[in-house]
Amino acid sequence: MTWVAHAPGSDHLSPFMASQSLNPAAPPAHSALYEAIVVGDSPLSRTERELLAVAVSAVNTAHY
Amino acid sequence: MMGPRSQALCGYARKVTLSPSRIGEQDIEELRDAGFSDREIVDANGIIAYYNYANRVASGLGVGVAKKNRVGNVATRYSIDAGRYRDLWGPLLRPLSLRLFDSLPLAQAGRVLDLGSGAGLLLDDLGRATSITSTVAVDCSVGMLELIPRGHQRAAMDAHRLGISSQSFDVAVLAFMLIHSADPPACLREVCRVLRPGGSVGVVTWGRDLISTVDEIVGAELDVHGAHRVTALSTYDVHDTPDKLAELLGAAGFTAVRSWAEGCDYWSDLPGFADARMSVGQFRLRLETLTGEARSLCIDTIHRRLAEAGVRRPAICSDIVLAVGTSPVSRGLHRQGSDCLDPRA
Repeated sequence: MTWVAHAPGSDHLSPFMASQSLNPAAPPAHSALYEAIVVGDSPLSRTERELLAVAVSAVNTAHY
Repeated sequence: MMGPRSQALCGYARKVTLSPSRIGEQDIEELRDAGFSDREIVDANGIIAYYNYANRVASGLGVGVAKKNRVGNVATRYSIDAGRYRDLWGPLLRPLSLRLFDSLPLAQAGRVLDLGSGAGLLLDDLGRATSITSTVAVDCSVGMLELIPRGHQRAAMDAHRLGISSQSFDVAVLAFMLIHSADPPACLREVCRVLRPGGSVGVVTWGRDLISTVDEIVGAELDVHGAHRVTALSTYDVHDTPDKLAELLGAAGFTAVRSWAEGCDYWSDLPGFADARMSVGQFRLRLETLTGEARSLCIDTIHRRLAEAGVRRPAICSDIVLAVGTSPVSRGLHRQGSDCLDPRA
């Protein structure tokens, strides 16, 4: 559910990924970035990584 | 209390987000002093930059805004009028909801989720099923949850993103809640996730052709007297027939789905029911957009028309649609709890 149209066949994507689906290269690239930066191997603990995500989103008062 | 490592991370996240041009080598030194390796600093910076990107994609394109607003609006509207909602709808909705119980394996159920519990109309009835060890009432409206008698477990949650572990309930009951969901498929997928394999869901909702003498007359007179319209927070037409409801449950992953319709006539003292109806929700809000004089005139006209409709008509005449389904025994890869931070979720 977004303010912009989604590409046909993007129903299987989350609303977040589908929001960028009109540029077909964006969702897979975004997903790869997320894998590398947020969930890939890191000496930071899972808790510390989630803390950073929450801290940024809170400062941005982002609802998502 | 946050430890010094966490504080250092939050301070850096805040500065990179709000004033990136003011970051200096000093900030990196401070992170090193707090015990972070350069690799950890690089990773932290990547995550901070990523979430700034993700937040701007979501805010800039309106991801999830409509859904979020609907949940917030439903929660607020029900919390403001909580007691009046319970008194108005409780006597009607409880017996209709109980019609679902015979079709659910409540005698074998241990843990039951009452999703969209409101003020907990069904909790005592569920409590009488001897095998049930615990029933948890979940609703988005804190005001409604506060009306639940002591001794019952309750939690405020958005039904589209339940803070509940996967496979943790035997039975889920959704009684007259799906009409308030902005995204029924997402809601039902969440229900499927939190049920154990082979667990059961029961849904009851309003059917097509809901005819309410009170709603017809009150709505028409509010229009005639110039009351403003307000956003409706209910959607009926995506699950108002047995076929539509069965299809929704099937698409969410449920198997052995069975759905049917039953009639329902609700007789009530019409003017009394109308007054209660006008004291909550959208009718109350619409009435409040009229000036005192217009409001009195509107209410008088409504009462006169209801008296004329009189004893010949039930207050509500409709079908209810009911469905039961089973969560699949084998479901391949499933998510371990909903992860709000995962953009792919």
